[in-house]
Amino acid sequence: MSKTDEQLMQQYCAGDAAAFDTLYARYRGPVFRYVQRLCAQCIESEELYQDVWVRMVRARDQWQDHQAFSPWLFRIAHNRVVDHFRSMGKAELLEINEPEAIPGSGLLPEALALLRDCVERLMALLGELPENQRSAFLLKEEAGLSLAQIGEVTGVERETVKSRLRYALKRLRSNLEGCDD
Amino acid sequence: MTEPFDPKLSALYQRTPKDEPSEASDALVTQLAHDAVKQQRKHLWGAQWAVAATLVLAVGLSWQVWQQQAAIEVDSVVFDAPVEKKSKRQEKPAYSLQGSSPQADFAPAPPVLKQAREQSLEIYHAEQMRKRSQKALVDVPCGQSGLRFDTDPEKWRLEIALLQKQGDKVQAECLISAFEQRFGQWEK
Repeated sequence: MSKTDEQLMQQYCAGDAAAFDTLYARYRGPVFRYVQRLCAQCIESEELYQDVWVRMVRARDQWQDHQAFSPWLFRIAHNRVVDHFRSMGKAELLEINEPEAIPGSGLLPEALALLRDCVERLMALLGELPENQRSAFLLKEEAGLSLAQIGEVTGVERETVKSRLRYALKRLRSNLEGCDD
Repeated sequence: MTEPFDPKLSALYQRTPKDEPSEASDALVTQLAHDAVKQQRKHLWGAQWAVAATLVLAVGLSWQVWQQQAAIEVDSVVFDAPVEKKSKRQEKPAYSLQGSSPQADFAPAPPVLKQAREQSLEIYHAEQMRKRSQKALVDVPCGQSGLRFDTDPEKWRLEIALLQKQGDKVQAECLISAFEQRFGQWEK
């Protein structure tokens, strides 16, 4: 039976380097994609990703046994990206955006049935979402977090997360017509 | 309250490319995590060694102090304690010298043992004084121990005059030299 994230983290904190390797193998993809897709226009996403793990290793003593590992790790990742946005003079993540029309989404191609096209469009649409909605969507899909956990990571109320997620899904759905089949 | 969720959208998202970090990033992160653990172990070992070394040192010092105290007690009781007290102690083995052990030291000191300790301290101080005075005798000027700590130049003059009268020129010259070092120019 495989060990839980929390058990592995406990072992790593106690000095077991192999436990970290297992944890890393589990989260390297989701964390990378979260950073990369949240920071869609960033050319430094690889550096940001490395920084997330550097921070995680340094902060391992602050992790508590009863704490769920996944939200803790993604909060580090989220904060790293927020810091990056701040340094770039962007503050969208801190705002609660109301739904707006997504530019350039009026035309839908005839061949929506093609899965590849749908996926490509989803990726493009994700990049166009306001960052706080994108963050909520990615934390849900990549990290599998609950609304409460997303709120914990992003520092907002559960209801705010719910609202952001609802807007995100609405925008994506409305521009992915024909991809349902 | 239901969570906003679209299973079809979610399924579509799961078909997006599974981008992953580069091998270089993997190597860097793994190395960093392993190094951090090694560093942690080093710190832990360092602290443990420091504690162990301190304990050994403390035990060693305590042992030495205890041995010194025990030796003083033995000296005083063996050489100075009255015979009748010694016989009394033999009747009560709990306070006997043979029973002098660390455990015995923790017991409340009986009057006989207290007296013996006081005597031993007096002997110790007397012995120290004797050693100091012996050392001082070696340093007296020209072997004239009576003048060693005397600050009265008249006493020196009398001593020198006496030596000159006796014809002991060498000793007299020696004292004159010591006199000049202490009181300045020697006037005949």
